[in-house]
Amino acid sequence: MPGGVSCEFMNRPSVNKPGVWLMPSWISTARRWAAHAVVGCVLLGSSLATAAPMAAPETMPTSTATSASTAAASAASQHLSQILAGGSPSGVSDLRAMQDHFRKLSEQLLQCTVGVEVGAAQGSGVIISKDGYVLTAAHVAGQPKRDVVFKMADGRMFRGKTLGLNRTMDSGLMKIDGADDLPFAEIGVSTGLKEGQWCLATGHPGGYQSDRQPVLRLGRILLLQNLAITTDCTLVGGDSGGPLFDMQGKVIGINSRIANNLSANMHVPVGTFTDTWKRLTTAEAWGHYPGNEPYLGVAGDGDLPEAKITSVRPSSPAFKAGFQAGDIVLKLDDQDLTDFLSLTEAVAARQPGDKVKVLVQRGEETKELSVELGKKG
Amino acid sequence: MTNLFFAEAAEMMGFKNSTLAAALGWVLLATAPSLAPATEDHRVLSAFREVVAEPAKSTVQIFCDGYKAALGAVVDSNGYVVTKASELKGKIECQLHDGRKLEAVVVGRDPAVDLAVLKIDAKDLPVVAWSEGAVPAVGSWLATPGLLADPVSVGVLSVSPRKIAAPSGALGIQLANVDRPAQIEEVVPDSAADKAGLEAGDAILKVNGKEISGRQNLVETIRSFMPGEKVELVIDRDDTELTITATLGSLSQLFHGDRSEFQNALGGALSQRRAGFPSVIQHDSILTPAQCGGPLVDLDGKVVGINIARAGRVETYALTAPVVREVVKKLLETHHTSTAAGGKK
Repeated sequence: MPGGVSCEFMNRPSVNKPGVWLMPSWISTARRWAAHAVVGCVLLGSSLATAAPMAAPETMPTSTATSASTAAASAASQHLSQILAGGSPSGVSDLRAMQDHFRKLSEQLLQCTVGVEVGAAQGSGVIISKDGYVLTAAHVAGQPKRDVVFKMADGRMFRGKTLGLNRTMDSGLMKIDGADDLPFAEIGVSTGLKEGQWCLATGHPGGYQSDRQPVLRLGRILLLQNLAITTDCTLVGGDSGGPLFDMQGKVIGINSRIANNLSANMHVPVGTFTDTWKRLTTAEAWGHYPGNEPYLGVAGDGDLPEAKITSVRPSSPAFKAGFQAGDIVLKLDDQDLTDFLSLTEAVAARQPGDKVKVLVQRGEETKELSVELGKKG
Repeated sequence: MTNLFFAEAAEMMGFKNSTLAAALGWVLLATAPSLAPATEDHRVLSAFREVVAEPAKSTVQIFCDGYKAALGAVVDSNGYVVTKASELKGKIECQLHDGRKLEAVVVGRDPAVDLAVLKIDAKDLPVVAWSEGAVPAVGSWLATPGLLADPVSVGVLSVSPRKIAAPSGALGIQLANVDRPAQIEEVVPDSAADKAGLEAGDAILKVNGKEISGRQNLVETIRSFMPGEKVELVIDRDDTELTITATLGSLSQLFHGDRSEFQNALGGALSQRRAGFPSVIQHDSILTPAQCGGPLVDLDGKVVGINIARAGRVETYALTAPVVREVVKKLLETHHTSTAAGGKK
């Protein structure tokens, strides 16, 4: 590449969407219609079983009024917090303290975990407000404004819609209609998380089953990255869109994808939902799934005050459309371009397969080129 | 595996294989965790030493033809051990906590729950302590003892006891979106329904003589059969009643190329027999199929169940203690009756 910043489209901040998306088997388009036979029946004809009675949680030891025991309780609680923040239990009494905490938390976490059906697809979600905003994965929502059926742990069923989604992060938002007093979990923050801290994941592996409550899994954060939180809370198809909780019961991630290893379970960091809340609530869809980024095939110099092409990749869509090194791109469709970054962004806002008209200046003349965007990779 | 993995991921996304390969390679490398998962972390496992100290004495390692095939639990001090039946084959040996390795014979099996009782020539063995209380709540720690100081695996209770149905039969039809009658909208090509000659528009009135009240009733009725079973269907086609016999396929066969099966197998082998249990606790301990068959204990070291299957990427099943105790009791009674009648020692 000629010096300076190489801003080739392929080098956009990498989208790391590894592994396997966590949808159940029956959602592949090829078999979608077959799924209606199964899923459709469950949805429309089923008598929803009431939630299986959960064993009563063991009562916490009640604190007495003496200051000595209060101090002891406080010390114990501090010790537990240290373990949950990333420490290891050192014996049965630590394990019991953790267990009491897991049991108490689990009961409330399951209540706000929902099964979602969008068309023939089944996934999971988590309610984060009493009026029914539901966080999920972009690949579960699919598109904005689709009909959704929500299935709660207590057996209740609601209808609603998909709202916005960010394919790059795999974050999606849904809204339950006509409810105003739902159990919900608070959104936590992705910053401040630490590798090693304990966490719980819930969801509906394999899809919602009326005789089974949302399924609880325990793990720890193994790896923190901007695009994913990796844990050993094992996930599988159907868990997508379900929540990852911290030990305060706050949502810190959304189940997204797995790889060929039991400790490769990846969750969307919840911060992206708060960062893009406006776009999500206004039902905007943006970004690209990995391998589906639009691709033009030119490199340029990001430091120049114009979108100047420094090289054209052989066989790329740009090459086929007749782009040449030295061309200055003035417009993409009706959009004026000011520098190479603006060209990068304009391409990124489109989808592979989109046909765009590009106005370029070549020496003294201007030329209009027509290009069909390809896929990165 | 790699190719399959890429192909699968690509198929899911609806992309061609090549487009994802580079991205995946990079990402898989980048997400190699820096920390051991809890279940492999020695510091976490060793916290359970006191919990498994006693139950480990009643745990046996079962070998079949010299290979580790299952774990087992001593249920009677006179040398009776319960384990997972379908893992047994060939020459069976039990290694005890005290190091002895003894030959074993199968004295009883219950295929309905996949349990077997073995007899070894030993006396005064420590017997497992069954939990007499209610099943622990969701979120409770559960440990799987082996013969060593640390447990084989630990996890939490994921789902309260439930029945895991045997594999369901399937016709391969899409039903019309009305509650009744149960009318076929589309027939899956090459499915059981297709082979039997069912057609779109047919309304199914009876299955094996039983009246069908509507679509949900039909779905539930068909699912109650096993794959391979024959069903006689009375249908209404253009106001004419016809009788058609169909040999059911399986639901997973219907979704052949099944992604959920693929995903479930990501990360480790599953037990061959992993469905058709009357009551199981689901927990998230990671076991291999050969680590099933032994006790599952709570923090008191009491046995709440017998691990009966590694059932998926996220799930291990344990038959609940009451189910196991009942089956063991029945198998031992039958054994004692027959040995008494046969005059054998």
